[in-house]
Amino acid sequence: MTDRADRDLALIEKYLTGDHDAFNDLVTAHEERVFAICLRMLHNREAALDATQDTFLTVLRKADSFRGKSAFSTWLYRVTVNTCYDHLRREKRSTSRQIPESYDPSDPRSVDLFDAVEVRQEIEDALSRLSSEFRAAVVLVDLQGISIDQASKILDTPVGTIKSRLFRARRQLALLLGNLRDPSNPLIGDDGE
Amino acid sequence: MMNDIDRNLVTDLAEGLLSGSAAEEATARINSNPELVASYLEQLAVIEHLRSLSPPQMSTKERSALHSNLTKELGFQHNLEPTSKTKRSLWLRPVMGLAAACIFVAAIVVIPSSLTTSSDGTLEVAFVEKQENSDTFSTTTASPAMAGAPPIVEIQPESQPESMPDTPIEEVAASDPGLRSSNILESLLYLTVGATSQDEVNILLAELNPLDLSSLSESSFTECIMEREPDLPNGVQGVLLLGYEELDDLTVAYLGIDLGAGIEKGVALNLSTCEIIDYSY
Repeated sequence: MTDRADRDLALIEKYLTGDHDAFNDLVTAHEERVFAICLRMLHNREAALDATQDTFLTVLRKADSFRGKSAFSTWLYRVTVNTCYDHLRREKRSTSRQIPESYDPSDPRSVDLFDAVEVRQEIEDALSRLSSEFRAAVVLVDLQGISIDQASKILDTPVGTIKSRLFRARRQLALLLGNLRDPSNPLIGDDGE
Repeated sequence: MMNDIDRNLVTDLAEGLLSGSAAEEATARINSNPELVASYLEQLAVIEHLRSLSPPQMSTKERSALHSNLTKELGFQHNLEPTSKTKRSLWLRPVMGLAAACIFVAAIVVIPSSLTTSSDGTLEVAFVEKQENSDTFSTTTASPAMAGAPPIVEIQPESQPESMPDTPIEEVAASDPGLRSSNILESLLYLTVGATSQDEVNILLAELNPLDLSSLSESSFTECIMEREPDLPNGVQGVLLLGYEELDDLTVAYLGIDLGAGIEKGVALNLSTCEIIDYSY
């Protein structure tokens, strides 16, 4: 296990003995990544914050069911993705779909000065048009830098299926980005599949 | 056309998962086919775009709100001492018993497709009945004239919720499974709203062809209920089984939620994954 995994396991055990601070430490250690996954999945800051909170509430309530067979982060991200799926289903059921809020953070300190906002928005828009399963694979592997093996465990899906989803999702993204950008952009292959 | 092996090969190489001779073989294979080369370059380009994005961050205000809400819940949870597996919410206990009982009690598997208002102002139930040994559904209209059938369920419209699905299920089933389950759930809720016991639910649905529930896994049912407990509304007093159906690759259980005044809300669960397919709360 990694140092982080060991620390997480120790924190869970401390929390289960009644140490509130241990849970706070777990939240602090993982909140940014959970929020990032939720925001990429849900494309809406408010919904992402709700999903982040729901994720940690689920972890809070079910901490005793964590067996330590896999890394805490694997379990946490599985809860995160499932929570996002639930939010997406609820959104789908909503009769009046809300217009997504801007991705621009409200806190000036969190503004990324190095991203070209326009390009970033294009990619975010393209991501939001993927199916939730494809999006989850891309978010975990390409955006969060999680290995395909761990993504397979998080999504409870065979490695081969994850690879296939990644391949197809990237192809769709290439097409979407190609449509959004200059048609002469060489991002798209010409294999015509 | 590329096959799955080629796609995985391209993905492996683009991800940098191959090394040594495996990487050389993969490169040679890809270079031998222009289609694979194009796909490989395309994958690389998208990966580069995606990985150039910096991760989003929570604002100070958002982080503060998150911590505040979690702190409140943390205190609340510890006051209730919920982390012991032996101290689950009280409402789960009857659910466990119910699940066991359901295995032995004939219950109803129904897929109501529409509710129409008859000339005398009552609602007539039209439903799709699942045929045993068949992958298809046939539509039947419940009617007192049906041989041997008990009287039709008559529900006064004014006593029922207003949000009934108005699209026949069969029209949406093929194109949108989510909407289909939503219609089924809302139709079942419509028929059973206010029921406080499994017997009452069974009576309310008795006109619809009863089937044995023995194929419904007790363990998957109860485990799913417990797993999804955090996602259910607050104040749950009990959960009653309204029906279930087996589709191509999943088993869906429709459950009514009693919040203290009989069934008010409902949830559709995929028993294969314990995912909530739909809900009404």
